[in-house]
Amino acid sequence: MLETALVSGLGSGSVYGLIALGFTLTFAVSGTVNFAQGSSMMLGAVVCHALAVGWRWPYAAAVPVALVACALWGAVVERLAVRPFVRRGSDAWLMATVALGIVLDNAVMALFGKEPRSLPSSLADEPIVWGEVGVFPLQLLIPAVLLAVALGLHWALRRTGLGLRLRAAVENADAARLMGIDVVRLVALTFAAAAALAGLGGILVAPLFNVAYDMGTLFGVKAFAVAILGGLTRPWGVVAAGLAYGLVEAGTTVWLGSGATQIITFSAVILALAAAPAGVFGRGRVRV
Amino acid sequence: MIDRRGVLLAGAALAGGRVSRARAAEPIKLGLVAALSGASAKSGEGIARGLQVAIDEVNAAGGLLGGRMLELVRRDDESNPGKGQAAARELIDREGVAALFGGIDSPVSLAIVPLANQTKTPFMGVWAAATNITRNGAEPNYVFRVSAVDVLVDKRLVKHAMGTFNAKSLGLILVNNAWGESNQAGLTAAAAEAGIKVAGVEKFGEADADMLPQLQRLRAAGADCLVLVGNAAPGAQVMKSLQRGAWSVPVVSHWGISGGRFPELAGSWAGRVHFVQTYSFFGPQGAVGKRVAAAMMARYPDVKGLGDITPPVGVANAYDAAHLVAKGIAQAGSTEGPKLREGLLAIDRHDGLIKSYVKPFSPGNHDALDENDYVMVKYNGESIEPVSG
Amino acid sequence: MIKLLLGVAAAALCLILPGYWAYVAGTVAATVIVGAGLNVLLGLAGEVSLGHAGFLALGAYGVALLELRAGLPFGVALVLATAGAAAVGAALSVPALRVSGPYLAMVTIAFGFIVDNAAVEWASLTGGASGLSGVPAPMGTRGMAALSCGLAGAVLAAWAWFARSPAGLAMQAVAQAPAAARSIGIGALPVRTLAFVLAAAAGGLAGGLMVGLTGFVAPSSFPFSTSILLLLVVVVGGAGKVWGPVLGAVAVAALPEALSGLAEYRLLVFGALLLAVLWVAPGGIAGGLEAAWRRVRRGRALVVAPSGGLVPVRGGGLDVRGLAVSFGGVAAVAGVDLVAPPGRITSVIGPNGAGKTTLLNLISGFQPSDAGEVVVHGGTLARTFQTAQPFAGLSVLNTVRLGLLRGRWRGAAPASEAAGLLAAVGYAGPLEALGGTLPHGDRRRLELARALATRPAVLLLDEPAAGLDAPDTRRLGEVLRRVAAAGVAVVLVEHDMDLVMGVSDSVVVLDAGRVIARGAPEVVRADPAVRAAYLGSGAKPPSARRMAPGAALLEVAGVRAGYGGLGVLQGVSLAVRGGETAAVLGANGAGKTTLMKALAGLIRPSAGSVRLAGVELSGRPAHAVARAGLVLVPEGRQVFPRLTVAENMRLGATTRRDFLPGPEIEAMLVRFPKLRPLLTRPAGLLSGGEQQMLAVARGLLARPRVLLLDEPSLGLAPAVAEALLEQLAALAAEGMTLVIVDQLADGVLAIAAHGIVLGGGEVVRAGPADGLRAGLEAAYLGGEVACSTV
Repeated sequence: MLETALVSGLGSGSVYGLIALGFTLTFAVSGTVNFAQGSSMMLGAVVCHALAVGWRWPYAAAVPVALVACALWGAVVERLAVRPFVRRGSDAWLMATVALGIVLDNAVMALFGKEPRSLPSSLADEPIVWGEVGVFPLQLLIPAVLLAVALGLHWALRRTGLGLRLRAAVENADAARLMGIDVVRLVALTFAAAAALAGLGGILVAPLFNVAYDMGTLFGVKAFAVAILGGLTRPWGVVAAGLAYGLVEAGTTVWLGSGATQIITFSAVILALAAAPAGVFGRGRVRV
Repeated sequence: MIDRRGVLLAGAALAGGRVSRARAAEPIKLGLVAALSGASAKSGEGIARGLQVAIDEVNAAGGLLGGRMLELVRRDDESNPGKGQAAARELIDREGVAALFGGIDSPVSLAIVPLANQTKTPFMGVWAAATNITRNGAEPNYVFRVSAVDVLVDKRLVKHAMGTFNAKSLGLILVNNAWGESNQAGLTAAAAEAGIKVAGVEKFGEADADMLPQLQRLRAAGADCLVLVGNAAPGAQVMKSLQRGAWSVPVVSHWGISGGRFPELAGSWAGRVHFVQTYSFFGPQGAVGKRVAAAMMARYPDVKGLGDITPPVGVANAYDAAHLVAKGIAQAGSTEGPKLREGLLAIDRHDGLIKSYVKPFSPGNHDALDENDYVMVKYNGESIEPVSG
Repeated sequence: MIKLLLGVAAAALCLILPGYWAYVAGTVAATVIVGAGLNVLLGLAGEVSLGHAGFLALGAYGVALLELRAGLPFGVALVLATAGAAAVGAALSVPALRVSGPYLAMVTIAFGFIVDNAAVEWASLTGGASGLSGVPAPMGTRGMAALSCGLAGAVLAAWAWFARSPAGLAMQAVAQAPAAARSIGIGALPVRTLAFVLAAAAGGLAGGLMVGLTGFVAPSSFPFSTSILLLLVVVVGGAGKVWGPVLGAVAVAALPEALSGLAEYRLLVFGALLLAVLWVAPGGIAGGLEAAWRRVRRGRALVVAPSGGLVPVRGGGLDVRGLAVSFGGVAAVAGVDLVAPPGRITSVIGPNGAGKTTLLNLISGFQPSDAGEVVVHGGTLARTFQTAQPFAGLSVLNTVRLGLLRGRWRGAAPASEAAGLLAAVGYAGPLEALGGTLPHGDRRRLELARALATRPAVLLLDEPAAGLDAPDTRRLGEVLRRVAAAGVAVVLVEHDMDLVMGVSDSVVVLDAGRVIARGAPEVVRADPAVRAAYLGSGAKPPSARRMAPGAALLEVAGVRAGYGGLGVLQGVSLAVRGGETAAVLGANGAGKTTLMKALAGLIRPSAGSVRLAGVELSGRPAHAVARAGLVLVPEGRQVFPRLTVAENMRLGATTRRDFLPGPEIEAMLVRFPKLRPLLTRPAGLLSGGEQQMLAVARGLLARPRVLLLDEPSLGLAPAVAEALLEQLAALAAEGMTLVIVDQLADGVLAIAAHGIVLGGGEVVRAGPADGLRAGLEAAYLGGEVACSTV
């Protein structure tokens, strides 16, 4: 039972973590997020399915192209649903990103179809079995990818020029602009990267789950909960929160039954926010 | 022109004589409220096709009530009972449908039942199997069904588990909705009646990706055969989770899994599930079976072989149900609800796709199918084939 | 009234419509009801709920259970279920109120999911996933639809009344300018709780009506998408407008009918529609219509005979003793005593960064102090803000009425009294005008009237004259005298020395958080310590460097710029040749920093040109200006606090491809040896002087063609400031082109060859450094300003 909870929890928790990392990236730089990150995740899985299954591309080509498509989508979201509202000093980006997510979901429904499809993968075909616990190799790969992405992000932020500029923009956007840093483009870049991360999560989870136009909604909501619990601006906090969320979810299902899962996890979210309103928004919004 | 009018008049006279010429031209609308989008979209599509093929046949034979053509009006319920009830209202009040057909989701059908009885509109279930859809306590009862009844299916599933797989202890893995609840009651009762233990009951959500925790609980509780109730996508996740847990336990399933691309979604373990159907287009076919298969291929370009007639249960039930309603209208000589209801109850014989119906409906029984009409099948690749036992 | 009539008419129509249409009308009416509730939360309180379907479910299950299990009649069940939903809303508001924005959205989403899942799991009560059916509705579909329509009319009427009631106005005030709302006694917490409770109650009522209409309830009746759709109803219709939810509900109900061919793409169309509305008409359909309507009848002002005006106050004034606060180890206010007697104007002045606004925040309780006490004798305290904070969506009249109410939700706030106050502060515009649409001067007057409306014993004013022209400033002085004459203790923080010297009874001078002088205006003005604080020690003579010959490297001509509607620079020109150092001087508030920001592209000049070596930079974004070689070392250093010193330096060279980190950073360490041991330390931990050195080094590493320095000596100890100026002098000697803004004129003039003196956003003097010193005192400390330009 414990092993099951661990394996299941780490797998789904890692996907939440991947999507949530995207929230932290954009939020840190711009104080905004793409509320429809779940749609970006879906886009990654759907494009990958269309290329790999529909056009029979090898995954080595399909996955990068799908990620690029997600990145472009992220940039489009920023341009259409975030920037115009931030310029106006309006909070409406929250609803605008939701709206754009609805548009994408339903456009995909029209193009891709309403039925869930499966994304075959040799990594999710034959399980590795220890006693009563079996895992698909993919399930072990997902946490590894999350860890690699988080480490890579950590390294890139600390050791590359782009990372340095990003951190500068996070700390003081105006001063960063005075250093000649194009903060507007940097923000667009973070939205692209965030969407690509979500797309990666979608591609990774698709062979275990399935591909459908509405697959992102619940993942997106949970990932947002994870991002908030992890403290929105702290990547490692988000990684930890993602894994913790996955484990609590799987643990609740294993020991209390699946009916209690969402009640427990979402109650935990409310309680956590009530106890520690990370307050990044709350404080930032009050101008004295 | 005169000839045609003469034929119409003659038809009108035959059908009761009171139909005016103006009304003869008016089509008889039949409504369908089913899931046309979302995870169960395939079920709605199958039902619509079965209805359409039957309607085409009736229309080709000159229509009803003196040449009035049948027309199918479909509405998407999005698997949401509220939407389904609103759509049913719209079909009844605005489109003036003579009868309604229902879809895969029991909660939606249960929401439409009171409306059907209140507005005296015959409501024909063709998929949703919750027991209390037809046995709803209303008098007069306007709800009929050409589909499985959960209590009966559940008996059959338990019998199959014991007979074919020599099961001693059942693990129930059920979708967490009204349909799952209906079957939980039915399966528990059927198991008690058959004297077999229920090791545990686990539920899963429609969008769950990982059922291993639930399955581990059943495994720990000592289940040696699983009974699965759920639609294709989550049903496939159950099989994938089983595969992952390397637990090669036999699985018998209600027919929900045939409402989508189960073989594709479940992967290599898809063929392990034995599930119930009312009809299989594979194996020896009667005249009706051949005719329907040919009509499906002729009308729908994406149907290239028998395996493309999916989901077979939706197509077959809907096909027979549409013909029964047509017979009922002919019998009643009217499209008015109360008369149509009487007409349905008065049908004596009908040679259908699933079987030859003899007195399909009676005041005490609005279900045209019983446990003898279910076949156990499994997937072989994309197609469905019968299993013995 | 029209809402009620419409509701009754719709109800009557429901009774005769065919069943389906009555049902549609009923569901639209229920949607209007929940939409109106959400419109309180979103439109008035400015908060988003993405889990409102949860309240619908609560109401629906409440009615169904009370009818089926407790055998109550529908009407009673509906009332109880509505109350129950309101109670849950109140409970949810406890965690929800601690957060806002996306955090609040998350709490509400979680709430929606919990209700949904609980309804499934608690099967013994709720019927599980099958839900409850056969819920009796006594009046049938038509009757229920009629009831829904009638109630929708009533709810709309109630909404309209509430939006104009004290509590509703307070709600909008909190949403639009929280600090300003707090300053007139409006507590955010009760107001936001009320918003939640009302929204929840409306959701419960609508849910109960929906059960009556459909006769059943199941968890799948209220999926997550319902919550989003409800939000869409309000936003598309027009948040904060009474007709918003009606238009939204009709649009959402009618669109699928109109687009029946596109039924499957309904949500696609909705999503695009929502986006389009957010882009084009942020106020939704109703907002757009209303704006058009306003244009039609613009200029119509409510004429109210002014009465009341300034009411005599009997207060004992303000006593501040030993007030202190420090931020990160730096004492911003270090033990300040201040006495403001009633009927007198006590001014607080001091150079930039002296701690004036912090002192005001401490006195008014906006910031907690570390030590000291504030006593207001016999009355309350009111304040205004440095940047005017009007309630953008409230009318001028209602803004002042809110002040009269002082945060109470009941009580009289006569329009005539509010109008009287507005007249008393010199406001002459329409009383219906929205706060957000006012010109700058009127915003100031409105803010003053709002503060006076609370009938304070003490009035704190934070730079009320900023941005006002001379006649307006003179009128402000007269108003302040009248306010004081009415018995109010007026505390004035102001940069406009003419105003301060002209109206004050006494002046307190702050420098580096301490009082360095106090007394009558003329005494203070003559105090050498005050002069030193403003102008520097005067130890060094102005440089006798002559202007370099040749064409200008940096040529600024006729630049106008400001913030929003507030124009600060009124056409400033300046020319600097290569290798030359220019000084920009002027009193606080003269526009020096604004000029620097405009040159660096941080704000976009509305007119004029900024040319660097002949290339026009005006209008380019800041990063492009920096890349062109015009680099600003901003006011307050603005180093990146969590990045190391070395990283800060590397960022300076962001734009350069030929950057050699090793030798170039080494060169900076030679120039600023103090930074050498600090290379790996986060810049935020450095002292002010070290940070300033780092900021200069960072700027130099960009290899600027012209380096702009904004207040480099601000907040530095005299010795440190001295050392820094020496560094700048060295730079100038090396041939770097510098433009330096500094408070301490003497120090800068010792380096600069020439410069300009700004006053009121204009160049009041220009010329060689040695010619500028004379007459600066007047510019800094008031009195006669020599207007002759050289």
